Amino acid sequence: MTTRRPLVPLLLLTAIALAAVAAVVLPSSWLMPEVVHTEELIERSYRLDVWGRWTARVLLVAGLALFVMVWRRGGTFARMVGAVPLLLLAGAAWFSGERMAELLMFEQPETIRFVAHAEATHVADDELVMGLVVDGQARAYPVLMMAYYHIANDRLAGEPYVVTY
Amino acid sequence: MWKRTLGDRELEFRLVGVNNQNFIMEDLETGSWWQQVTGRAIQGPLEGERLEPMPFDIVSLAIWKSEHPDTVVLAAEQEHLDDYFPPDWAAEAEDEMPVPDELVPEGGLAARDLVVGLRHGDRARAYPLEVLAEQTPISDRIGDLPVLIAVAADGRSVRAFERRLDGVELDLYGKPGVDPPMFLDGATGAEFDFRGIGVSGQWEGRQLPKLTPITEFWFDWHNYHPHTGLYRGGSLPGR
Repeated sequence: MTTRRPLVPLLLLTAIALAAVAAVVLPSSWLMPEVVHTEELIERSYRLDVWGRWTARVLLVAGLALFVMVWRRGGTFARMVGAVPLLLLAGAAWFSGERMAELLMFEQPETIRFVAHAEATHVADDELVMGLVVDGQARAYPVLMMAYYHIANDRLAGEPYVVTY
Repeated sequence: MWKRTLGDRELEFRLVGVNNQNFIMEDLETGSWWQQVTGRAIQGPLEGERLEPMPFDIVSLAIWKSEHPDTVVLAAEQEHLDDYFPPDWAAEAEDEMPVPDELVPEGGLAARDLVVGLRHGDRARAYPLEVLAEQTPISDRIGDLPVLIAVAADGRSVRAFERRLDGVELDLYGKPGVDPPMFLDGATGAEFDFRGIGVSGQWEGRQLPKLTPITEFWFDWHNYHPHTGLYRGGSLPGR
């Protein structure tokens, strides 16, 4: 009878954990501001992003199965070592679909609220606003606020639009 | 600013990341990626589609209020008060986020000089903001489109119009000594205000067709409009 060692599932578990982390982190990291972008790089990050989103979840299921094997075959030490890649996998699966740029830099407004301009004490008169009029109704989005949000999905008089800065 | 409808479909966007310092947004409906500056889908099921521009202005709050006394203003979120950008952020952008050498265009301007960009069909033209401030209003022609572009005394509130009404091309001049700026029709003496609305004379009550000028860093405008013209009327100060 052969001895059933935990080494093989442990190595496999580590390998797929690293693959999942790479699939999820690389596309986002290629889209950071410091990078000089080419069309090829953008395409690669889109493809890996789409692929990585599902792969990370599938790999998490596979990783759980491998961890069960480690758990059965190994002692306390093997189980502790196996927990590390399992946690990485769980982290990758959770992060997949999240956006590094949103998490690290900007956050768009969840609810968009307006005040009369007399109450807009947070905006100086000489500050720039992005102004639009739909159906006679006027709205102003201060540039200094939009420079943080970057994106606001909004609607006025039945017209859906996205404010970008 | 873009309309977020494509045919019958309404889209909602979120930020994905940055493509050469201009951001990419993603629609939640199809997962396609869109370039902010061009409104064009660059990856995904909707690749090649274009969003329709939403006409808007970038002017000072003072000017906007005077023209739209009933306007509302986006409310501040208390938890983000410290995140909103400081008034001098553009001047400090170069220190915090230097433009990579690969993106610095040849010729004339520094990467982070501000230009006012206009698009008409496949054509694009950039007007250095400094030059515009000196020469405002500038009459120009982009392809077959006669345009007028002007900046207020604050050096930042910019407007652009097609200077043509009823097929008549207008020669428009700045009215001296007023701010926000007003324009005089050289042929009839009719006056237009900064909204481009005729306020006296032959064109009273008429609106000059508005264009949407975009104030951008030169390198950014150039990167996404590689065939852009650069307005050279007059000298470029200091260069």
